[in-house]
Amino acid sequence: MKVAMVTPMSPESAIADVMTQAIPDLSAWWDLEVWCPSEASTRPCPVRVRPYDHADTDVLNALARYDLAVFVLGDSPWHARILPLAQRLPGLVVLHDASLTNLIRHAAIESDEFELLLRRVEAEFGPESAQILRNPRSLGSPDEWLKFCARVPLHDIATERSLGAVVHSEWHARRVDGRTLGAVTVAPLPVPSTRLGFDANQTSTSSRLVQRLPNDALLLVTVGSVNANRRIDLLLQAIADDDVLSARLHLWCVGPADDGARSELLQLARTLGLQDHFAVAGRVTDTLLQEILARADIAAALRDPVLEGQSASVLTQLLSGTPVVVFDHAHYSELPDDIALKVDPEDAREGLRVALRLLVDDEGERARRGQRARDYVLSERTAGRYAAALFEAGERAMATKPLTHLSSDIGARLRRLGLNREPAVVEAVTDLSFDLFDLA
Amino acid sequence: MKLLVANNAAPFVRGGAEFLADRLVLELRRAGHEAELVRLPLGDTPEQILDGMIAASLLDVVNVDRVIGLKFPAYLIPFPDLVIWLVHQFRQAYDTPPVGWPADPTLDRVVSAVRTADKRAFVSATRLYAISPVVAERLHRSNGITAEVLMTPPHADQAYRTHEAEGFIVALGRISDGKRQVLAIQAMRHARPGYRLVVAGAADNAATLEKIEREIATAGVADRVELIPRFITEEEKLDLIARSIGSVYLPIDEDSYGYVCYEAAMSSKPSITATDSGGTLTLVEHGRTGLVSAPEPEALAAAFDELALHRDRARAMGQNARTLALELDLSWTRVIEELTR
Repeated sequence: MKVAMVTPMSPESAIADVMTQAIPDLSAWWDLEVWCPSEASTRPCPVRVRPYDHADTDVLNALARYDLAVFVLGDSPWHARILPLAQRLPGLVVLHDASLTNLIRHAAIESDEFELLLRRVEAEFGPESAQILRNPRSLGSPDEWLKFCARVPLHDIATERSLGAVVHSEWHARRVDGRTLGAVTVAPLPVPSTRLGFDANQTSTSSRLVQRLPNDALLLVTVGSVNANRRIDLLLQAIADDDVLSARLHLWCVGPADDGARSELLQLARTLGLQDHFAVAGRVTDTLLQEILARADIAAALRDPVLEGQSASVLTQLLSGTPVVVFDHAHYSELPDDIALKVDPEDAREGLRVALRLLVDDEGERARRGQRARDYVLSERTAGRYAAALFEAGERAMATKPLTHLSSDIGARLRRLGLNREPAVVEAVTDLSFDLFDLA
Repeated sequence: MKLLVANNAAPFVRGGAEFLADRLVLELRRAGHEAELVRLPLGDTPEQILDGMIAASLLDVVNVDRVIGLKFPAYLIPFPDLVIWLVHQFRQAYDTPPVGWPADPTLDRVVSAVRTADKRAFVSATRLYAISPVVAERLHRSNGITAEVLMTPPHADQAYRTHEAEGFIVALGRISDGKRQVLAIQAMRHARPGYRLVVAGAADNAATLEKIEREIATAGVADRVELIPRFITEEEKLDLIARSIGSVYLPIDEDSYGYVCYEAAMSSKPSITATDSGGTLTLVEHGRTGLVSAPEPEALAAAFDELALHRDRARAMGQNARTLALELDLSWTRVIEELTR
């Protein structure tokens, strides 16, 4: 079977990294080629890579000649030249993010279809949401925009003509269910290859940052962009609430941070008396990240709202053998209970304090959870398992193809009389189709 | 030409539209065409109405040169050469209650779908005809679309004749609430002496017949109203009309011109009809081919009197009615020519 995988191939793209990990196995099953938006450089790949400049008709026609096209999407500009192809050619869509609001908005503006998108959002989410999408700055804060993205994910615009979707958690699968004609497959996202390692010879400490940390200090880390939905403020408050935590824990935030977020958190740390136990490390190299995680005793991943379909940074933390504290919601709830400590987001501050105390007080518990975490990632989150899931999703997508012809035919017939926009008719036809073709 | 006549089908209901469809197929075949009839189910509930629409709009017609659609939802069949001869729309979606559905969120969705589909089908049809001016007028009022009127010929070709009027006015047709024979009976209470009313036809049901009989007794007009409550033969019917002063026919908002009025006209007899009788006004022009009265007993009695007491005038109106009926050219030849051109 000839398959085209349309994915970013930039060396900087973490999504490109995990997709590339699956290619060796996939190329054994499929006659696989990779299509990618052209970049200054592309990462090495074991199959033919065909860069393209524009998502135009020529590219579309070329992709249509494959038996199956796999479109890899995430909510970033890397995917702006992939989305239009996924919208026009029914294929298998791999969704790395649970919200595509930024991507869809950007694409609609670029293609002069923004007003159409606003009308659609108004119909589904109401006029206020359409107004926010028109002018996100009206919300006043990035935090509010993130909440909006979670509430108005717009992923259905990418999946509505698809043959199926691949997601990376059951939680995300439930959100996408019914938004594609085909099946939704949950694939176990592997850890980005740049973060693989954590073997004994890679844990030596070379950075001054790590060297300065007292030997008896317990290091708590967060990994990823330092923004409002990382809830670092809650971590600081939970630590300040507890004398033992205040005395022993050091909290480092690893990941890009803008000046505003950095100064706000530093100010909060000073207010709480934790300034000597708190650092915003900013963006670090993968090598330094490995060093930090190797030194870390506890990790925290407190996304709220959750916008990604799975957390590569949590997987990285688990691989490093670090026990993780997460909110008990979204895909974080799916982590095994003997690995992650899950905190009720409704009682976050006290829940965090209790969870952190448990790990701080019990070195054995930290070690046990850390080891299980590492074992879990090494056994469950492999490139081979990911490729196998993608292959299965591809098989399901092929089985869905006849249904696209059916839906296209029915759609054309209903459109003739304008019935495709009559809710009563659409619901009746959909119900009937579900019954007849076992789509439920 | 290979022609597919498309009509709807309500189980176990057989009325004028079903006769019309059968006859159309027969006449098309007589004219040398290949013709078949397809009937699409139309249920009663909003869900069934919706299902009927969807079924029609998804139907794949093959080995056919033209589809002739008669009634909702049959005229929604997708076909490039679709000629609609509109018998009537789905009036629940257009009229005010009680004929139309009341405002209701569930029903409104179906109404919206019906109107959307209708409008597209009418606009995209190769040609659009209505079976009567009333149907055409309704279509224009509800959808803003103009249809050419192509009236339905009578069901059967009859040996119409006329005789010198005897002393009665005849009320023919199925006895039912909708045809309002009871109104004619009530009118006889106010009518001047010297003539009778003959009501002839099978009753819809026992209750309707009982109501008619009770009305005759209550009004005290048993000596002036003769009731023949049974199916009468064509010969009996033509004889009654031929010997009558004129015919009275009082349906409510009839779609067609009314075969009863046509038969009277062809027998050179005037008709009395009501202002709210709809299509009958096509053949009954007040004072020229008959009389149009308010649907009230006193007013109807005055109309009866006018025909009964001014026989020369009634005779002249009857002759005018026949002339008008002939001018309308209600022949199958014309219908077939139009539908197949």
